[in-house]
Amino acid sequence: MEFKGDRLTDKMRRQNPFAVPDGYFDDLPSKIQNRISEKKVTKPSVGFLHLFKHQIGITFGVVFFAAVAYSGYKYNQYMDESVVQADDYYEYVTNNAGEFNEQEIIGVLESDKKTISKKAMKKESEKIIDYLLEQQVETSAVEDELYKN
Amino acid sequence: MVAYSDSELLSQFQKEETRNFAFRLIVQKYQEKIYMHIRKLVIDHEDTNDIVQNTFVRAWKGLDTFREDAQLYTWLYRIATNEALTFLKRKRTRFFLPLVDVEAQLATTLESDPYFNGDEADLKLQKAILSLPEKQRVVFNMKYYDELTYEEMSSILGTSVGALKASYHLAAKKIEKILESD
Repeated sequence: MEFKGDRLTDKMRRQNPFAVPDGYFDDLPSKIQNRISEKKVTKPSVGFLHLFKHQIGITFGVVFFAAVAYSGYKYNQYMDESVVQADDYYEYVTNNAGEFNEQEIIGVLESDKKTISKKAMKKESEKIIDYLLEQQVETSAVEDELYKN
Repeated sequence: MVAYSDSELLSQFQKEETRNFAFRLIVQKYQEKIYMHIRKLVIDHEDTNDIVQNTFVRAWKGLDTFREDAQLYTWLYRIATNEALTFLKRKRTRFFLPLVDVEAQLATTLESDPYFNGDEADLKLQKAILSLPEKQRVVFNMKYYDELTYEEMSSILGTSVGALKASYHLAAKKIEKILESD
């Protein structure tokens, strides 16, 4: 929309009706610079921590989460390590081939089974079952025990 | 007194040894325009004095990073406008809007203002301007009194030229209507 002309200029005087105290504009620059100087003087001395508080905060946050992640990783690793290794069972079965007893295997499983992660347990259980099948050992009771939980 | 360009002043401001001198010159160059712009919005001289000083203190802090893609004057103008509008908003909030009409209060201040030199016609005009919505008042003052171009106003207010033209047109019509009705 093209707004042509300014109708008000014909009707009203475009003058400034506002006045200021005498000498106001002469003193204003000094007043402003005094305010700036006051702000500089009263500004507290900025220490290293204050200057870099954001960076320090971010660093601590990253370190904290890294520590949590590492702890979680180590915990899982511990859990994995506490899994009864399949090799233990291979050795048992090999050494006790003649007197193989399912109940004994279950007993070993129960005694050696520590708190382990379900994922790790399942992985090892499958290895054990596969081995026992190769050895043509009846695995149903062993499976029941392994997959009980 | 030597008249420095804005570029020269900004260049001097960047140097530690001439910073204060350059800033003083910037204040001297623009203080009256900035003062009057704020005064027309907030009316009272003491309030205007505070806001003008706040404006230039903010300018001091921001001049280091001021990019010369905008003109220094429009940049100062923008700070001043924001400071004035923030002041009015706080005044309104303090008095629990909308129970208290801040503009009516400003009109009353105008009547008893020792630093108002206008006659009856001027008083009438100022009261009519005070009756406008805030943004329209800003636009009207910038166009009518400061004679800024719409492009400059657009740069200051962040509003499109078309919207500003419409705003001024509406403001002018409203003021005419008020004055003609009296």
